Formats: sequence, C-alpha cells, structure tokens
Amino acid sequence: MVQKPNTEFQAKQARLIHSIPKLSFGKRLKKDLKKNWVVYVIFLPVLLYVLLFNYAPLFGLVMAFQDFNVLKGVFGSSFNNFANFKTLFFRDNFGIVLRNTAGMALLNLTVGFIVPVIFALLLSTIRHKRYKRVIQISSYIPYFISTVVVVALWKEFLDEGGVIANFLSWFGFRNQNWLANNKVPVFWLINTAIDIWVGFGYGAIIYCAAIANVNPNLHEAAAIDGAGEWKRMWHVSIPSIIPLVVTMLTLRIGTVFLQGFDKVLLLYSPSIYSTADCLTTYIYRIAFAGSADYGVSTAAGLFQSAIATTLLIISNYLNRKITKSSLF
Amino acid sequence: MNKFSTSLIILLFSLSLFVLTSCMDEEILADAAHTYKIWLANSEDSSYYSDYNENVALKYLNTLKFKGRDGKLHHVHIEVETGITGEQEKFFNTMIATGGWKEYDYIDYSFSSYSVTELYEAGIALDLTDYMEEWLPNYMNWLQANPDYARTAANIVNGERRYLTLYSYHDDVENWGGFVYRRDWVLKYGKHPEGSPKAGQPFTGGFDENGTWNDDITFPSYYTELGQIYKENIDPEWDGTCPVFISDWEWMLDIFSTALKEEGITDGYCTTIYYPGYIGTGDLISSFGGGGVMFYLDEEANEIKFGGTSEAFNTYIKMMQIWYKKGWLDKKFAEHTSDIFYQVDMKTTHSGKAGMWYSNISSLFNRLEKEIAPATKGIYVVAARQPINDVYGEGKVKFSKDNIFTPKVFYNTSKEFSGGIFTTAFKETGKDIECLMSVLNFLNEWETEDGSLPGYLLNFAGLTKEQYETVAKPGDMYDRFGLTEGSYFVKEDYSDNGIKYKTNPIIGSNDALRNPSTLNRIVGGLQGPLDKWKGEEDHQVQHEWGFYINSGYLLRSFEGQLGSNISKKRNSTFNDIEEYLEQHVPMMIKGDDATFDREWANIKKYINRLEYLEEVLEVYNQLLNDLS
Amino acid sequence: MHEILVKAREEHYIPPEKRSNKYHGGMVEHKSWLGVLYTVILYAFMAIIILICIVPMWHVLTSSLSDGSILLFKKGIVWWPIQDSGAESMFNWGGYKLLFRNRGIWSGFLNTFIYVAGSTTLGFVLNVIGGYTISRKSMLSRPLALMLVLTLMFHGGLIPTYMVIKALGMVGTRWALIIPGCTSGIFMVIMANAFRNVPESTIEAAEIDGAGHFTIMFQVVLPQSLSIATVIILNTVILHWNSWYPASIYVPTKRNLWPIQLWIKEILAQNQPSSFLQAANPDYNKYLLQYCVILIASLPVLLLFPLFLKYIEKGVIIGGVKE
Repeated sequence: MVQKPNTEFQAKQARLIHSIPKLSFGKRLKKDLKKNWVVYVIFLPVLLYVLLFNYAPLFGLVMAFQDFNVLKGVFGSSFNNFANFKTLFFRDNFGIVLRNTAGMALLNLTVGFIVPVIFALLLSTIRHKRYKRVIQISSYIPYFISTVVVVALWKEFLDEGGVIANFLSWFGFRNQNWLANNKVPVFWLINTAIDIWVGFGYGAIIYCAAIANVNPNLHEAAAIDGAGEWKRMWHVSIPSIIPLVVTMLTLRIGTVFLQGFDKVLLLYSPSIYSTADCLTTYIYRIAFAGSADYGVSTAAGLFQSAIATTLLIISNYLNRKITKSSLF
Repeated sequence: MNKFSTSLIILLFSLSLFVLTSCMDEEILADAAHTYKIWLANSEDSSYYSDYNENVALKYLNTLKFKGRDGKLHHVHIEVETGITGEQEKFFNTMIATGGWKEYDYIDYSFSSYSVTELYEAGIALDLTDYMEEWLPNYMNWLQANPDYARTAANIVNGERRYLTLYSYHDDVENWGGFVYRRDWVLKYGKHPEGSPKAGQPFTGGFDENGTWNDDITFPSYYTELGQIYKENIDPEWDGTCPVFISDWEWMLDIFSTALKEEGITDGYCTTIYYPGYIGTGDLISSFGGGGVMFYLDEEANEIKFGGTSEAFNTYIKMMQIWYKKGWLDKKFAEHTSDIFYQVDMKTTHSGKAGMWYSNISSLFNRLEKEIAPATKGIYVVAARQPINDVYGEGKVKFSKDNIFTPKVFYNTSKEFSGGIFTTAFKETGKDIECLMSVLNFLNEWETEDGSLPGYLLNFAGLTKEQYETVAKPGDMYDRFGLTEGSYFVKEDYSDNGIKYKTNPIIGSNDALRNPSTLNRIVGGLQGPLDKWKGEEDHQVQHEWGFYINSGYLLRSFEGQLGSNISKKRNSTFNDIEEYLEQHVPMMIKGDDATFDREWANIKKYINRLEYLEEVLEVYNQLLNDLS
Repeated sequence: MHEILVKAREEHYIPPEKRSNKYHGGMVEHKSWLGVLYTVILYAFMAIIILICIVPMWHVLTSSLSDGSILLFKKGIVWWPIQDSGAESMFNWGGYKLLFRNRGIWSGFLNTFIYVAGSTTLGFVLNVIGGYTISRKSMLSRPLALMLVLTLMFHGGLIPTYMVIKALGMVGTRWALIIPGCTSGIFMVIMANAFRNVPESTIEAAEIDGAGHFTIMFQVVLPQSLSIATVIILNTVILHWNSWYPASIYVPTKRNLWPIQLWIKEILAQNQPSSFLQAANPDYNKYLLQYCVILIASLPVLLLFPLFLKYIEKGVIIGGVKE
C-alpha cells in the first residue's frame, strides 16, 4: 500500500513525485485499480443504470443516418448517409428556427440569468426578518407549479383583456393577445419572462446563502464610513459573490440550448412560428406531427446535442480557467 | 414530523384500500381463446366512467355468444383499452414501431400515420379478403347496397383487391354540421332588399304564441338576373328565403355589423373562420368552383387535383382579406388554434355575439337561449347552404350566365367514418379471431329474420330496458344518468314514418350521452338513424346543409390505399404544405395588398419547390384509374 | 459550483460568537432621507414581487369556487369568488364535487405517491453512490464524471428508449415510472462537487477509525452536504410530482397506473368549453374543473415545501460552519 499523504502539502508533493517518473498508463491504471477497486465495485449499480437507461438507447442515433421506416425498425431500415442532415439544413425554415433558438437562449443567458442575482442582492438589504421570509417563501411558489399549469395561466393573462395585456396597455401598447404577436422579440421576451417568473426565487437561494455568509465586519466598516445601502451592496456584497456568479454562468452556457424549451410547445401557434419555433419544437413536429419522420428528427436532435456538447466543453474550460474548478 | 408521517401513512393506506375495492373484477364467462383485447383511439369523458370496460353496453356484449371458428357459439370477453386524448398518434406510432400491436387483436386505425397497405405489407394488418363472405356477411351486404363506398373499401395490393380495414359506415347521410347564421338579427336589423315589392321596409315576423318561428325575409340575389339563373338551373324551388350567393352573405354580414353596433356588443364579430384562415377540406373554397386546399377529386375531369395554388383558393383568400378589412371577420380568428373547425370560439358564438359561423347542430334554432348570456335572448339560428361566389374574381371562379357551377368539395356528408384493422397477432396466440369477426358482424347487422333487435342498435343506440336489466349494477353509467329505462325504446306501432326506435329523451336533450351509453366508439360497426330528424325545422337543416353533394373530398379509405413507398412522401408533402399555409394565409388575410401578393408568390414558390408533390399526384391519379 | 460557494463562505465566514452585534442586532444606523426613501421603495417593490408570485394561484383558488357560467365570460383576475346575484353561498363547490366524483383522481394520487417515493429513494441512493465515487481522487473519477455529464447531452429518442425499457420487461408496470427517470447524471456530478468540499482530514480520520466506504458515504460526507442533497431530493420530488409524459408512453392504456398529472391532462382535454357547451343544458361547473385540478395538484407540494426549506437553510448553515 502506498503511504497516504497526510497534509495537502504532502499530497501535492506526492503528486509531483508521481508525475516526474511518469509511469506508463497501464501501470498507473493497474495501481489505481488495486487501490480503488472497492470504490469502483460500489459504483457498479450506477454504471449499470447509466448504461441501460442512458447509453443503450443511443443505438437509436443511427436513425439519423437512415431512411428510417418505423415498420422495418432500426435494424431493417436502409442507410442514406447524410441525406437527413441535408434535408434538415436545406429546409426553408431551419434558419429561422436556429435564429429563434439562439435568440431565446441568449435572453435566458443574460436577462434570465441576472434577475435571480439582483433579487438576492436586493433581498439582502431587507432588515425586517419576517418580511424577508415572506418574500422568500412566496418567491419559491411558482417553481412548484407544473409547466402545463404555468403555461395555461400565462396564456390567460397574456390574452387580450388579461391582466398582463391590460397592464401593458397603460404604457401605450395596444391591448392584444400577446401570444399572437409575431414581431421579433415579443415571444422571446414572453418565454424569458415565464422562465424568470418560475425560477427566480428558487435560483436566488444559492446567492442568498453566499451573501449571508459575507463577513459582517465588512458591512459594518462600510457603514461607519458612511456608505449607504447602495454603496455597501456595490462595494461589499457584489464583489463577494462574483466568483459564484461566474461559475453559475459558465454552467448555464453549457445547458442553455437544451433546457427550458418544452413550454414553447405549449405556448406557440402556427401564426407565430416565425418567431417562436425553436429546435426542440421543430424536432417534435418532425417526429410526431403526422409525417413521423424519425430520421430527420433524430438528425436534428443530434445536431442540437452537438451544439450543446461544444458549449459545455467550452464553458467547462472557461470555468476551470477563471475559477479553478470544473464539472468534470 | 412524526405526526405528519403517521397521517401520511394512514392517508396512503386508505387511498390504496379505496383503489383496490373499486377495481373488483367482473366474472369472465369466456375462455382464453375468446378473450380479446382491442384498442380504441377515443376514450370517454371520465365523468361517465374512467375505464371503457365499465361501458354498460360492452358489458352486455360480453354476456352474448357468438359463432367461433369451430362453428359453435362461444362467450366472448372483449377488453377495451383507449388512447389518451391528444396523445393517440404518438401512442399508435410507438405501438407499431415497437411491436406493441401484438397485444391487440383489433386496432382503431384513425390516428395512424401509415396507410393500411403499409401496415399490411409490414405484416401487422390481417388480410380479411378470405374471411369476408363467411364471417362478415352483414358488412359485405351493406357494401353491396352502397357501391360508391364499396369501390374504396378494399385496397389494391399488387393488382389484387384485398379487404384490410373494417370501416364504420353510417347508413343515412346525416349532416351534422355546416354554416349557420343569426336569422333573428337579419329580421330585426335588415330591410327588404332592392327589387322586392316591399323594398326598403323592415322585415316582419318572429316567434308566435306557440313558439314557432315565422318571417318574411328574402335575400337580395333573388331579385337579380343571376338569382333567376340559379333558380332555373340549380334549384327551382328556391324562393329567396335563404341565402345562396356570396353577395347574399355580404348583405347579411353588413346587417350583422349594424346589429353588433346596435346591441352594443364589443367582443363579438360578424363571422369567424377556422384558425388557418380556411377549412382545409374545401367548404368555402369550393364556393369558388375549386376544390380543397389539398388533394381533391374533380369528378367531371375524373382527375385528382391539387388546390393549394389554384385561382379559386387565391380568390377565396382575397375575399377573406376584404372581409377582414371591412371588419366583418373576427380580428382574432388566427388565435383560436386549439379549437376544432366546427367548434371555433364557442365562447363567443354560443353566447350570441356572432352573426355567422361554422357549427354542428348544437347551435341551431333557439338552442343557445340561456339565461346567463343576455345576447342570446330571442336568438334564432338557421342553417345555410354553401354560398356560390358571384362577387369576386373573374372567369371560372365566378358564377355567371356562362359559368354555372355548384360547390362540390366539403368534409360533410360522407357515410364513411374511421375504421379498424384486425392484427395478425392471433397467429401466435391462437385466439379464435373468427369469433371476434362474428362480434363485429353482429354490430353491422341491419335486419333480423326473426324480428329480434338487430345488432347495429347495440352499436348505435345502446340498450333497451330489458337488455340493461341483465347487466345492471347500482352506480353504473345508466344508473347515474337516469337511463335505467334503457337508452332507447322500441315503439309499439310502426306507423310513424317507419321509425321503430325512439331515443330516450334524456339522450335527446344531451347528445354527449350517446357515445358513453353505446358502443359507438368501437370502430367498424354500422350506424343508422333513429328518430333524430323529424321536426320541420330539422328538415330545413338537412335540406340546406345537404343541398349540394360532396363529390370531391377524398375518403379516408381512398387515402389508405397508398403503398409504403409513396405514403411517407405524401405525408411529408401534406405536412409541409399545411404548416406553410397555416403561417402564411393568415398573413395574407390580415395584410395589405402588397403583403397579399408577396405572400401568395411565396406560397406558390414554396409549393412548386416541393420534391414529391408531382409524384404524389401521379400516384393518386393512377390509383383512381385502378379503382374505377 | 457548490465548491465555490463554500470557498466564498470559508473566506468570509465569521462564527456567530465573534460577529459584531452592531450590524445585525439592529444598531442605530445613521440613516439619511435617501436611505429611508430607498427602504420604502424597496419594501414596496418586494410587496409587488410577492403579489406577482401569489396572485396567479390565488386567481386559481377563487376561480375554482366561482360560478362557472359567469366565470366563462369574465376576463382578468378573479379577486374573490364571483357568484350569481341570487346565490345562497359565497363559494360554489360544484367543481370540486365533480372532480372528486372522478375515481381516477384518487388512484392517481396514490400512484403519484408511489412513484415519487420510489424514484426519490432509489435516485437518492444512486446519487450518493455515484457522487461519492467520482468525488474520490482516483484515475477513473474524471472519465466517469464525463460519462455522466454526457447523458445530459445525448438522448437516444423515444422509440429506442421504449425498446430498451420493453426489453427489461418494465413496459406496462409501475417500474417503468420509478426506475428509468429516478436520477440524472447532473445530480451525481453536483453531489460529487459537494462531497469534494468535505475536508480530506475528516475522511481520513474516519478511515483510520476503520470506517468502510458506505459508512463514510452516509455518515461522514453526506451529513456535511445536506443542503445540496436536499435541493436534489426536492428537485426529484417536484420532477416526479409534475410528470405525466413517461406515463403517457409506458402505461398509456393502464389507467389504474396513471399518475395524477396524466388524469389532470385527460380531464382538462375532455372538459374544454367546446365539449360541454354543446349540451342543451351545459353543466358550467365543468368549466371550473380546470381550476380545481390545478389547485389539487399543486397543493401537496406547496404544503410539503416549508419542510424542505427548513432543511435547505439548515444545510446551508451547517455547510458554512464546518472547520
């Protein structure tokens, strides 16, 4: 058994020493297996789970390269190489779909991301404990409502004469069904607004925790210097949560193309496809709306996965560079 | 916390007890070979029952005996599984793709993305050709009596006619829907049209003491030259009391806009249209001499045509654009996307705030008069026949002395409904499939020799009191909805127009009860008229809605003929066009003339670029030739 | 991400006893009129936020108790149940009566309880095991983590997944709704990140005491990562409480296995105004059904939430106090 290093320093040294002679990969692996085999055995159930439910179905990805016929199945259908991708990329609306996906993702990444942070900061300046608690608890409520219900409620409120449409009409906007408006940022903003409404309270938990743990002496010193709430927030709270914010942001970049689009399917309608149609809904329509073209649908899904993976790798790299930590 | 978990456990326990006790199984009389599982696309509203197997008519069916393969009578047990509303298509495709169909002996075909021929070629659908004569004679009898439908009832596979599907037929063409308008508004706010002897005077009439409606309304086209041409060539009985031309409609729409103003209705409209701006099956587009938006049969030319780029469609959209501009059309027509085409925005139409709309029988006459909506006071809604264009466009799309035509393509008035397929699963399970065919044959039985009740009644009308009593249980659907006297009565004297069976008035006043109290959902059975259309008013409805005969709308059985090589192309072409039109036609209607022209050019360009359209049309026409 | 959070805490953390009382104890701060104005605006703004979060559910509650025929034509927020002028009672329970007459609701609740409990427990065990393994300093921990993260990105699609689950014999059984969706790669990765923050010395001490891997997992590292664990559990619970899609694929025809949300979907689809308005005497209570089911379906999670909240906040504090 290798002697275990006792302190962080020794551990670092040990690592250095290990890396200098550079054992061959096989030998290192052997050593590692010898040392950690129990851990790996314990991992087996997880491995089995992931292999069965996540990796085994991946055989379906070959459909992306097939002239897939449901009646013949994955194993009976003939291959057509990249024809599905060609169909996909040269379809009339694919450009629009990409643009909408990117637009919504970008809004989510900027506005959608910053709101919980601001909320947490504002919340931290509230001194009345009961009130603070009430605010916090109510802000979580939307997170617990299922998507279908959230969408149904928003549809009602966004409709002409609904509470949001009425509210906006005070600001000179025509009272209209906002979900039928196909001007460019309208649907994207609605989509982001719903995302924010659902997740801002829940998303703020982590920032609240970080702010709560800031050294109160810093606040105190600032207060004595005559800094008001604003200044203290600006000079004390914000700098202290910046690293966390950066990590959260990089994480978000990785998943922004994958998450939060399911509700679009429930929100949109043909007359606003031009601004609302995104990859997720596009794939859904190809696969299920009548034509049941699994080949093209799988190809589109694969394309979406590829973008997401690239983004994730980039964001993980950035994360490691900036904050010295990483997801994997 | 402890209290909490205790109460949680108690709650769970009582819940499970409740669930377990409510799922007590019935006694099954049939053996394994005569126990069948069938899948139906549509389930019943769960306020009637949560599981289709609780259907009382089905329970009754399961007590009967049917002839099996061995020629002897057997008890059958039919277990029904139903789809989830809105998820049927996904389920059907998954079932086909994963071999899940092997669990079922008979499958509702309504939501299939594949043609029957494809399903047959894949070894899923059973070829019924050899079984037909012996096991489904009632079905064949009906087809013999209705050669129009017999033509497409069988599929041509490799040059041979094969029966692959069992369709549901309705013995009588019974119009269930069409255009309707507010006749009371015309009466109240309209004036005798020009050319009439009483020109300029207000109309008179209304409900008399007995509640019967009378009026002296005549429509303006009656006094024109075109009107006389129409009377001579198309309908000699026409006396001007109902609208026949687009110009009549526009005259009426103008009256409706006055009516809305006078009544102070701000959230209503003169008329509305299905959300893409058109009804895809034809209907109003057919008023311009054309067919549907998609593929339709031009009977005179005996050719299948594509209507999406036709002059008729363009002129139709032009009319809608003008209506929209004039404020006649519902400004929000494109937003009712979750509605069905015959139930557009019922919230508005059924509260008396619209002048004209497409509807089923539920909105006719004074049926909409309710206390809660003041705008329905004194409402009187009447059915209208398809109008004919005499206003817009030139040449073939406009009715004139030299161009006399009638609308020919609409969804209504077909005797054929969706169908079902027998699967080949019995070959592995060894089930007595012939016995199941006997069951469906029974549901197609129209007449009996011994005078007993024919089987179609069980399918379409439900149970008589005597039948119900053999399976009655307290708390079942019949019990809860007051049908313990049976869902229909057998009349003692047969004198009344030959009508022998009378629907229980409870169903008569609430048509929604019909499906849950009968086996109507089981596809492949025969439906027939009971006593529904008797009053004079109802005759008017049938006369108007059924005035023109649909000859162009392609039957599902025709579409089901396509082979696997072309079916996928047809589907993708169809979907692409539909999706594109759904986005762009509303833009044309709502836009100015420049937008109109630009979008029309876009549509034409898009459709012309589609890869398979020509090929699909060719195959369709080939098929048409083969069948005739 | 949790790592950073903890680091930030470690750098700035001061144990309560050393904290100055002045700041948190409501010392007399000198407040300019600007500060007062700020506070007033802030409090008012937060009040609006509370309203925005609560009003939709309030609207659902009041609507569900209103008169359906009037509600049908009412636009905007219902602040208080609206009734016909001649109504005897302030509330109309008709919608709820209709809803609970539906037997599916009850079995749906039971099934959802089973699915939530089953998959949360199973998922939790898998998360801890997976998280523990990849948090260990070993050669394979990073490739394994990558393997888990990739599951987020690539999906085989509906039909292949269905075929796998069918091959395992789960289709048409409760297992299909408990096992396949019980966890996700990202949960394990997050769990691992939390575990990594447990000081090495603590683990070593336990190892010297002769603790096995499972003891370390559940008695050493897990208690130190309670807040993250609770957040993950909460997420799993919500996910399964609100899920209907897997059920619509794996048990579509077995209505006795349907979770509550699928029943809700079905009931909503069947009770659109377009269907009930067709009857000669429409039952307007059917219009209330949608509001009733929304409320009934959201209530249990909303009531459970404060329990979780206690743990999350406690966990955050424990995480901060260590060392």
